[in-house]
Amino acid sequence: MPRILLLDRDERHARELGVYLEGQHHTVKVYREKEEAFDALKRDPGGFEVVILHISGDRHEDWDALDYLRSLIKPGARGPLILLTSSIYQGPRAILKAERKGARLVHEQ
Amino acid sequence: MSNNFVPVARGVELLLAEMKEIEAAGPQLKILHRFWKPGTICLPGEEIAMVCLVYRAREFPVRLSLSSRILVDYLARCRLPQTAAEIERAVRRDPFYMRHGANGKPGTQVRMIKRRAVKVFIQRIRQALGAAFQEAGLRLSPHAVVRSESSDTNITLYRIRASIEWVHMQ
Repeated sequence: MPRILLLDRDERHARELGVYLEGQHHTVKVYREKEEAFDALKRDPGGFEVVILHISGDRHEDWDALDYLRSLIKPGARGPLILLTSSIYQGPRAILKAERKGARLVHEQ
Repeated sequence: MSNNFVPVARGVELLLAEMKEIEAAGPQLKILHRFWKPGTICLPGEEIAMVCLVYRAREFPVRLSLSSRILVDYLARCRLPQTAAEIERAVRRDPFYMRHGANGKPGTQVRMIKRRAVKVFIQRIRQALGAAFQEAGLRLSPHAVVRSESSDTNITLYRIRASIEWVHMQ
């Protein structure tokens, strides 16, 4: 059962997405604060197959969080895969920016 | 609300499937041969110009020296695990490597792979692959791609585990 770390500031959204993904046979650990999520990843870098970072807009803070997430994964190490989610459509630029950073961005419908 | 999350679940599925496929078959590498003559394929005289990692429709150069490119090309062609001595012998006998780059600059592009140096080249190739993986955001160990395996007599065998595509240009 794939383990997912969900980092999402929006409490309601995090709860609903977490419940949905658990219904899809994933084990989900939800964090609302990025520091807590980063600590969890530092403690157990191989503990999650996927990290979902919910971004609410094209905010520097979110992209910085993505950069920091990437820096936690040592080169060549088997770290988690990163998926960005957004409730609003951010256009192809954001998708390409995510891909350049080794992540994928999906838009919720 | 849950219908909104379908793309997220599909995104997770896609990421996991992508990684599973890469772990099973290795990453996709492209080896570029130049000084190619139309109507031929991989003939002596061509040059191994570049090795690239192909990931999500983008190419990331694997920055390798000439000797390392020759070693990657040889291991990619040969597919079978090879000892350092076998690599040295095969490269020395293969006209492709003995006339390497002769269609462009004759005599300047030939390198011998000494058996004692193979281990060092393998480490350098792993470093360069690791840098390309990092640039691409690909979570994969270069040791899983450039593999060292022990034989029953404790001799190290080397092989590359990747999907390889050779591309030719003039």
